[in-house]
Amino acid sequence: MSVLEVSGLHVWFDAPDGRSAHAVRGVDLDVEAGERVGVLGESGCGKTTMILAAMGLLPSFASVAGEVRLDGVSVLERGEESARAVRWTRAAMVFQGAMSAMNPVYRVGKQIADPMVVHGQRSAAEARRRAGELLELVGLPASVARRYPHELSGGMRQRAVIAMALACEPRVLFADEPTTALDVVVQAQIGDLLAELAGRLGLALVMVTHDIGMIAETSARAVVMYAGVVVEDGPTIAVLTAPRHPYTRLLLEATPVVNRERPLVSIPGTPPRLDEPISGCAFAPRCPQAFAACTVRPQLRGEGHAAACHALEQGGLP
Amino acid sequence: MRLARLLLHRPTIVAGIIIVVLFTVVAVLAPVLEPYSITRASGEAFEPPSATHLLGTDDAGVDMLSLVIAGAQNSMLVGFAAAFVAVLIGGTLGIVAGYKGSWRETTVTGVTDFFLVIPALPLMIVLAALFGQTIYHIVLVIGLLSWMSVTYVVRAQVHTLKERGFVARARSLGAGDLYIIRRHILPHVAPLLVAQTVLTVASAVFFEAALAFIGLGDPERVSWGTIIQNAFLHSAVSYGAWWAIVPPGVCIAVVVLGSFLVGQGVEEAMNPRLGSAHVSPRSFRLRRARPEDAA
Amino acid sequence: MSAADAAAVRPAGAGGHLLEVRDLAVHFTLKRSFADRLARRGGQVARAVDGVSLTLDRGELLALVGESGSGKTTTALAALRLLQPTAGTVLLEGRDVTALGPRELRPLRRRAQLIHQDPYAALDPRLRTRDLIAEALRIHGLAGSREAERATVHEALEKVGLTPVEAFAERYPHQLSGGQRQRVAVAGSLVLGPSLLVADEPVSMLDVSVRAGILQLLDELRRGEGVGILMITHDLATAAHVSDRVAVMYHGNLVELGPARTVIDAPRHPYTQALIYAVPRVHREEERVRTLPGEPPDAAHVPSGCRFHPRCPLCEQRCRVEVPELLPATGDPGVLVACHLRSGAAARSSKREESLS
Repeated sequence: MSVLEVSGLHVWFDAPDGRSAHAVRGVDLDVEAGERVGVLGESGCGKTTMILAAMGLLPSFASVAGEVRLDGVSVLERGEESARAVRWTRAAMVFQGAMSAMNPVYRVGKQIADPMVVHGQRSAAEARRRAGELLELVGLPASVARRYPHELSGGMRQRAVIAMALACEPRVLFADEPTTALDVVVQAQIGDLLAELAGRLGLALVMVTHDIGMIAETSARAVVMYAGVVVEDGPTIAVLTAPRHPYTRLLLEATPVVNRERPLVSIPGTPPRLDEPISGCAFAPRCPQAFAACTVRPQLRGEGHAAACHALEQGGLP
Repeated sequence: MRLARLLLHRPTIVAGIIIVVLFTVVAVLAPVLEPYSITRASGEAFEPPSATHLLGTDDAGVDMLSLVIAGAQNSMLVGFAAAFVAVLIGGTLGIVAGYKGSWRETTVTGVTDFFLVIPALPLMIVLAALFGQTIYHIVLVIGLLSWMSVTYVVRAQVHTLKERGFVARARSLGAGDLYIIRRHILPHVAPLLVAQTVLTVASAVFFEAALAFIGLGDPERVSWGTIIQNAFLHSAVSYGAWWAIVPPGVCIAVVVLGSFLVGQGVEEAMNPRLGSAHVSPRSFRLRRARPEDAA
Repeated sequence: MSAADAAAVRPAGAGGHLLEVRDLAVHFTLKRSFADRLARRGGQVARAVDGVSLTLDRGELLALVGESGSGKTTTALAALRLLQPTAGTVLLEGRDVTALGPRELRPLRRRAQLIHQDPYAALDPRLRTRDLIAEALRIHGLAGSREAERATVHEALEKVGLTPVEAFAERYPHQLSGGQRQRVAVAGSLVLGPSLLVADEPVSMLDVSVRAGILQLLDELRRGEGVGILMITHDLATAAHVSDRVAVMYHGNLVELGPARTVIDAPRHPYTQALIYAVPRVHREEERVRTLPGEPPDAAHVPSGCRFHPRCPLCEQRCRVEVPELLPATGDPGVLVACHLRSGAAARSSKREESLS
């Protein structure tokens, strides 16, 4: 049994004027313990919504269908109630922008210790001791526990947020763009830290980012999302060097790399609006290989390295 | 316009708008709507409400309904005029303080604080007693004592507007302060000014009634406050003539409520974070996926 | 206007550079704490930019690279005189603009423009595209008749690739994508006919698939129109793709300056080396090793000597004491490095020691 099972997940967001945006349109994803998965996509593809749904952290104007199971326990079955039962203890999240994730009026140590106490796992004294241990685990001196968030630098804050996420020993760690707004060198440090922790603690790491390089350096498996669905899923090296979906391929060609070999290409057009029904393959209007079959929504197919593209089934087209 | 659409979605705001519009229309059309003359008696003194006099008559036999309608004209006039004065002063000071900052801001906030500390009603009484009791004086007095909160609110918004990207861009294009205030700050502050105007109408109507009640209203004109004052002067209470007191009082209360609903609604619509959706416990809804979702 | 024509229009003045910055310094005084006031101490000074010199010519794209807090944005804003330099000189088209007041600076805005980082915030949501683009004209009184204005706006939209122009002219910002908004911002600056464009992180807030288009637009502008572009970015990959030269900043100083390919493929300064190494990439021979310890110190606490010395793996005694100058690198005079161990200064001083011994 996988430690994270997402099946048939749909998420809608309702606007005050009655319209509704279909942000996640049927996603299946299974992640094993110790696996490091990078979810890649541009703004609006649904990757952040998906992991928020997996934690049951969606706002009141959202509605969901489908199922998410953490270690076999359902997250969405009974709405907020079931979500709260698994939050932080089975799955935790590292948010973008550590400064907004931490409460500025409490010391760092207390904020790391609190989840343990609230979830009834440890006494206050034990929790505080454990908080010190967690700080060292993420590469910070235990004395940081006595400091306030604003006294720490950006990189240190992000490490503290990671320590906070690990407090209740979750099995799955979600990370939402954990390194944006940090300097490149610090980004590298945090990325490597997350990968190392996943290995050391046997966690499943699901990292959401738009940064292809970050995925290359920290994840063993890459999942590419577009317009609310998964379009490619496979080992990172395979996906980034031999992509099977046209979107992935074009995305790679559009990404600037330091060792420039070829000119950049931008993808013409824009992603489809999610408040209007999408028929067939969402990428077809922009896809250089679109053909007749693309009016039907493609399924994710392929053992080991799957892609949702009709062109692949033809065999002839790459 | 998007703002209008947002506003019309909430029933409380719609109710407020209806109230304010209704009373404004009555105020404007007052002479036409009054069923009887307000200067001559059309019935007995303190007649209770009946088919001919829907709200009864006052101590002089004048129809109450006509009086209330006539009162609407003056009360609403004072309300809007005073609010206009208050927002003109407060808005200008708020923009200057918020945009220019430094010593200008310090001066404005100092002056504003000074006026805020003054107890409004006693000062209004003193000023009215000193300078006269025509409707113009009343409007000025109320306006001069109502601009302070407007200043603070406008200043706060101008502070945030000043930092926004398009202001920085205008500056880098070479725009001067006046241009930026005129073309970028004012249009964004306008909805707030509208909200503040409406909110000030509420307090202005109330203050007018208060002044009139203690005898400092314009003696030449009929307003809700003077109606109530008149009723008390002529012992309406001991006559049990509730209809001489309650209707104008209810009108004041309803107008204040309506203005408040509109003003608050506009502010909330402009700043969605004033609502509490983001702090309430998350409670997403569950839905059954339909076959067509997977198409 | 082609690069040749642009060069011909150069006003009389010393030197031929479009932009020249000499020993630029921008210091901010921080508010004094109460303890400071009691002790009658002056407030702390944040030395955001401390002695930066560079030049930019027409038709050239110089990338100013650095982390947040390196002073790159401050340098660019000071070069455009959107900030007052504390010291140093700024020359725009040969003219000294360092000490000019706001009134004298206004006509300058037509020659040098800034492209802002955030296309979502830079456009007033209440204005249509045509008003946003015409705004620059109206501010400087260049609008002319309605037809003339419309023609100029349409021409600008064509130049940035937003066609059909009539349709785009009528749109509001919320009807445009991020990339389109950025193009509108560029168009709004182009109508003034500037010779210098400073692009502040022009693509960092855009989706990856859209970045190429904007970078291409900048490239076209400098080749076709002869505009000189100073691009600020923290992303070395972006710099690698479009710039002619790269200037690397660390903590208020320039640490390396040279042709793009040279600086990126063969960095000399230890900081540049660490930076390039840290950039995440798809192909890497071995696993990335954590390189630089710590983080850049804040601008108010400047280390003595070379600012990078606390984190530098090559730090020697001299580095702690003496501030290195930006000098030609040993082995490649086309690149300037500010490092005792990597520049001609090291060769010179070691030669001196040899001759003395």
